[in-house]
Parts: sequence; structure tokens; C-alpha cells
Amino acid sequence: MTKWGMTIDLRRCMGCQSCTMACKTKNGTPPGIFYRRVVEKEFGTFPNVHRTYVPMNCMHCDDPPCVAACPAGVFSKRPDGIVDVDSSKCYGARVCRIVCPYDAIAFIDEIVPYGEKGYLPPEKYWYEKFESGTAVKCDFCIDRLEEGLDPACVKTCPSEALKFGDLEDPDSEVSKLIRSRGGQTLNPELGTRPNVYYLT
Amino acid sequence: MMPNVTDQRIDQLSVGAGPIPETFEASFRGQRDWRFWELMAFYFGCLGAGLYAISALLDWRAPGGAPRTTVTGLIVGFVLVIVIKNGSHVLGSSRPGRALRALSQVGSSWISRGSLFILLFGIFGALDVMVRLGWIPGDKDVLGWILGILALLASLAVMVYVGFVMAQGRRISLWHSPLMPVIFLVYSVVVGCALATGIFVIFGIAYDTELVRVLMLIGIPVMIFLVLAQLAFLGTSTEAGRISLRMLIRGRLAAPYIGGALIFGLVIPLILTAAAYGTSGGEAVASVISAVLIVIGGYLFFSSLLKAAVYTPTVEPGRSLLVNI
Repeated sequence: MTKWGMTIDLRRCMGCQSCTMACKTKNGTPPGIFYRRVVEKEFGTFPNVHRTYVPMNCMHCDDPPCVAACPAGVFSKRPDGIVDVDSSKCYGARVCRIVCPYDAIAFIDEIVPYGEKGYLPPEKYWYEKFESGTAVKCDFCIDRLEEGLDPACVKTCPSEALKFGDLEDPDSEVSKLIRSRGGQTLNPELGTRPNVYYLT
Repeated sequence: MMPNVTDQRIDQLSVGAGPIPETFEASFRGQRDWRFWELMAFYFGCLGAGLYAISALLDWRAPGGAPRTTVTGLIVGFVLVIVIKNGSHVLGSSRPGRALRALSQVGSSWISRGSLFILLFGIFGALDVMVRLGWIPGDKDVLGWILGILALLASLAVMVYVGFVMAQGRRISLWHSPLMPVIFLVYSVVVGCALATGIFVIFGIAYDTELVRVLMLIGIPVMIFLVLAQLAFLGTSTEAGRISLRMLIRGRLAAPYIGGALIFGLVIPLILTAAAYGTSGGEAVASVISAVLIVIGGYLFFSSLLKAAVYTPTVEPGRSLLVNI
């Protein structure tokens, strides 16, 4: 059985936000709504100051808190490991945002155009599938997966920091990378068992 | 080390569809998903369920044949939960037409369980009130007792469930505590006693003052202990917890939380209730003043609890191995 997962190589990521833009372009999300982003963090003290870039998206946890906490059944864990979202069930409890340890769920308060002069033609098309007052998040580009394609962020990353594949297949590139590079999940102590692994 | 994040900065950190950021800094940010309507729902839920439970106890303790005056408290508590709390939940939801879906995940979601508890409280509470008013036969009978106990259990569940909902937020140290359900239970009983006292004294309704006073003399010190314990735990928790602590004891929330909720809302009512114990004359005045202070203090307490919640960043120094590369 396929179990989709992702590896993110932090040595390769240069914080260019190409994945962020690819995600926004593919999904056509309204202003202020991001399914993924590259979080920046400074640490250390002068003169030994460092800046690290950590691409973040839904971790598609094996034990997802959003699935358990949502009262409306908006989130569901698919057999292939993807935590799917059905915004048409959302009534706006927002508890998903409270319980997600990875800040992966966005809430569309209202849909507004990017420009000051109203909606551009592509925006009218993009925003048709969104409803204000509902929760949305990354679904690993399920529609692209069904066509045999990688998620948009993986396809776009210029430094090939993102890899996507079957975690159950020991010969997949992601499984090999996790084994060889010692893939780590974010905040494993929370017990959510993410399927996005970071390579350091 | 205390992070260099001011309370004002925390407030400015928006969530959801806010201003488009220039960068995505991993930083502390305040909880702004649950605001006014959630506060109304949580507060009036505690107030109504507490008042209902206390009034039910008082009505049971009324001597046989005495007028059933404390049923007024049952009706007011029922209305607070079913109309005000439920109404606030519906008004606070962005898609009220789908609000019934809140009952669809009872097996895993505390909000769903809470919705079920409210539904059961609505059914058993309505039947219980009708039985006590004599509209349905069975008062002081097996049926009346069963309905009364079921309604009382449902009211206790309505008090407690919000604590479980909030305790799920693992990135919010202020809420992620096993004390939360206990805090909601004890505060509900205390504000319920206070509201019952206020209503009964002001409208001249006869009730068992001894029982209410004893409950308050036990409940208020326990609540003060729980508030102080929560603050003590925050001091030893995460950096986000320490920011919440600083907001509550030194920041802009110190006045409503320490001054309003703790001192005026709990300590002074405790002194007034204890001082008035066994005296005559000033007892009623002290009870009403205590009741008003507790009810206002309860609002300030829940309001501060929502406003002081701070999310731990997903990538935090000292917690994530990723910053060490």
C-alpha cells in the first residue's frame, strides 16, 4: 500500500520561496492564504549569527490532531497517508488551527482580490472553489498525484530540496534519503508521527 | 531567558487571512482565532450550567411542601446555556447553516462531545424544569429524580468540556494543562453560586443560604489555588507560556486578570462571605456585593484566558533539532 511522504533537505533549501509561489499558483489561493511557506529563523549571537530556512506545509501526520479535534469531520486520513480536507463541511469552529502543532491550516476569513481595482479574470476562476469562513490546507496536490505527477512545490524547487514518494517502498528516493541522511520529523515528542521528513 | 517580545508585538502578529507578510518569520504570535463570540459562549455556558446545578441542589433541599422558588434559577440557567451559549456559538461560526455538523464526530472531538452534552442538557433540563413546575407529573417521584440527576450530570458535562477543548492546544502552554477542565468546573460552580445568590436576594426568593455559603467558602479558595497553580506552571513551561505569564501578571492583562478576576473577583468576595458568616443584617448586602464581583471577575478571567494565549512557533530555539544545522 502506498504511503505518500516528503523529504525536505535543509542543506539545499535557500529560502527562495519558489515552492510557496508554485503552491499559490497551482491552488490559486486568495491573498494571505498559504498552504506552505518557508519559515525563516535567526539564531545565535553576533558575530556567530545564522539564518535557517525551514519549508513548512501540512505534515500529513499518521495521528493528525486536526482529524480528531474537528467537530464537523472536515479532515480525514486517507489510506495513502494524505490528510484530506473537505472545506464544504466546515462551519468555522477553528479548533483545527488551535490543535495543529505545525500551523499548517489556514482559515479564509474573507476572499478579497489582490489588486485595488477588483478581481482579475484569473482570480474569478481561482476563487470559485473557495468559500469564505472555511479551513483549507495542503493536500499534497492530490489531483496531480492522480495524474502521476509530483506536487507543484516538489516539481518547482530549483535546488531539488524537496522530494516526494512512497514511504512504504524501501527503494523509493524518499525512503533512501531518510535512511541515508537520518530524516527527522518536526517536534516528534508531540506524537503526531508526521510524514514529512527533514534532512539536515 | 525571557524572549524579547512585547505584548504589543504579540497583538500585532496576525493570523489567518491578514496582511500579506514580507517574510515568514518563526515567531511567537497571539491566539486570535477565538475571540468575542467564543468568550460569550464559554462564559455564559459556565454561568448557566453552574446556576442550573446550584438551583437544582437548592430545589432538592427545599423542605416538602415549601414553595418551589429556586426553580427560577433553573429556568434562568437553562436559558443562559441553551439560548445565550448556543446563540453565541452559532453567531461566532462563519457558516452557521452547517452548525449541526458539530455533532458528527462525537467519538473523537471534544467540541462534538460538548455539543452532545448541550443537546442532552436541553432535553433533560427542559423535562426536569417542567416536572418541577408540575407541568408533567412525576415531581418528587422516581421519574423526577432520574430527570433531575440526568440534567445535573449534563450541566456538569457542559461546565467541563470547554476545558478539554482548550487543553488540546499543544502549542498554547496557557491552555495545554490538565488543570483546565478542573478550572472550568470549579469556576462554574463559584459563578453559579454567585449568580444564584444575586438573583435570589435581589428578587426576594427564599433559598438555603447555608448551602450556597458553604459551597462558596470551599469553591473560592480552591479557585484561587487553581489560578495560582496555573500561573506557577506557566513560569516553568515553554517560552510561549512565560510570555502568557508576563502578559497576565505584568502586561496589559494584569489589571483585568490579577486585579479584576483574582483580587476583586475571588479574594474580596471570599473575605466578604467569610466575614458575613453568622452575622445578620449585613449578610444580604455582602452576598449581593460578592455575587456581582464574582460574576464580573469570571468574565474578566475567561476574557484574559483567551487574550493571553500565545502560540509556540513551529520552529523554536532549544526545541527543534533543525536549528542546529
